Amino acid sequence: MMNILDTRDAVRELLPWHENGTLNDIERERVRALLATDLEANRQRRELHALREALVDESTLASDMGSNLQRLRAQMGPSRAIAYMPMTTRWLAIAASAIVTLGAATFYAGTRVGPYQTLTATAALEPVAADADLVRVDVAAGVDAAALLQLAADPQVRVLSAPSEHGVATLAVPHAHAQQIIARLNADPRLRFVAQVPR
Amino acid sequence: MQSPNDRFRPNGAPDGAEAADDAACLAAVVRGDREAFERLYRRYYERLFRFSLRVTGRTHLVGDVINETMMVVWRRASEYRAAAQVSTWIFGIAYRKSLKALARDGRHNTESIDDVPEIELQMPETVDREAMHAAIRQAVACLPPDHRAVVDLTFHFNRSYEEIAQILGCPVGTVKSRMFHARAKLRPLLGHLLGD
Repeated sequence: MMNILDTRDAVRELLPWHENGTLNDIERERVRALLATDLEANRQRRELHALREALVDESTLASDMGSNLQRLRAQMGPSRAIAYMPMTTRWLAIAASAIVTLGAATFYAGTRVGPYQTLTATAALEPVAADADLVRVDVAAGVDAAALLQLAADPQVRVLSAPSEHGVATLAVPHAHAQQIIARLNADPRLRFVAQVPR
Repeated sequence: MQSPNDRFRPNGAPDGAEAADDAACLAAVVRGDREAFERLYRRYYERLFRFSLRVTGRTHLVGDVINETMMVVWRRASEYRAAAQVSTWIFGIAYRKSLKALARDGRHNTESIDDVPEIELQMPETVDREAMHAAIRQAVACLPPDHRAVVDLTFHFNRSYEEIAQILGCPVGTVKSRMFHARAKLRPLLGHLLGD
C-alpha cells in the first residue's frame, strides 16, 4: 500500500507538466492512468488548470525597448569583430596591422630606408641643373662632403648626397668640366670608385 | 498528436524554426554581427521583461536585468553550447541576473520556503473569471523568487521540468520540490476559488 501511495505521489508531482503538455509519452500515460482512478489527482489538476489560466492570461506590457536598446548599444562600444575571428585569421590581421603601423611610423619619422643608392643606380635626388652631370663616388671612411668639394676643386660642384654609411655619395658637376673633375677625384686614393651615372 | 495544451504554446519554448533561427543569430553574434544581436534582443525583450518581472517583482529592475542579460549574450556567445536551446541559455542568464539585481536592491527574500509567512489570501467575494485570475496572480507574487520562477516557467512559458532545471541551474528534483511547495502555499486560495 505504501508503495502505491509513493508512486501516486511521484506521478502527482508530474501534474503541472502534464498541464503544460511537456511530459514525454511514458510520463503522460502514467498521469492519465492516475487521473482515471484518483480523485485527489483530479482535484489537483483543476487547481493547476486554474493557475495556468491565470498566468497565461496575464498580459505584461513590456515597455522601453527602444531606450533600453539605445542604452545597451552605448555600453557595447565599438565592434569587437576581430576578437571573435578564428585564431589564424586573428593573427594574420594583427600581423598586417603591425606591418602597416611600422611602415607608417618609419615613413613619417623621416627614417625611411631607401631608395637604396648603388654605384650605378640613380637615387631620387634634389633637382639638378640641366647642364650638370651626376657623378657617383665610393669613398673611404673619413671622407665627408666638405672633403669631396675640396677634392673636386670647382665652385659649381654640389654634393647631392653626402657619403652614406657605406661610403657612397653623389655629386652634381658642370658638364663642361665633368671629365677634369672626375680625373681629380680619381687621383685621390681615398676615393675607391668614381663614375658618371645617367640622370 | 497535438496536446490539448498547445493553445498555450505562443508563450512557451520556441518552435523548431525559431530555435534554429536563434542558433543562427547566435552564431552570427559570435562573429560580431550586431544586426543579428539586435534581432535576438527584440525577439527576447518581451519574454525577458515578463520573466524578470516575475522573478524580481520590481519593475524598476527589469530594464537593467534585460540589458545585463543581453550583454552577456553579446560578450559570451562563443561559450554557448548546443546541449540546451538558445532560449534556455538566455533565460538561465536572465534568472541569475534577476537574483543578483534583487540582492543589490535589498530586501531580497532568501529564506527557505518554511520561513515564508503564509500568503495573505485575498478571497474574492464574487468569483468571476477576472477576479479569480487577479487573486491567483497576487498569490503567486507572494511566493519566494525561486518558486515564482518555477511556477512562471511552467505555466506561462510552458517549459518542461528538465528545461527549468537547466535555466535555474539546479537538479530536476529541486524543481519538483519547489513546485510542490509553491502549490502547497497556493492550495488554500485555489481550493476556495474552485469551491473544493
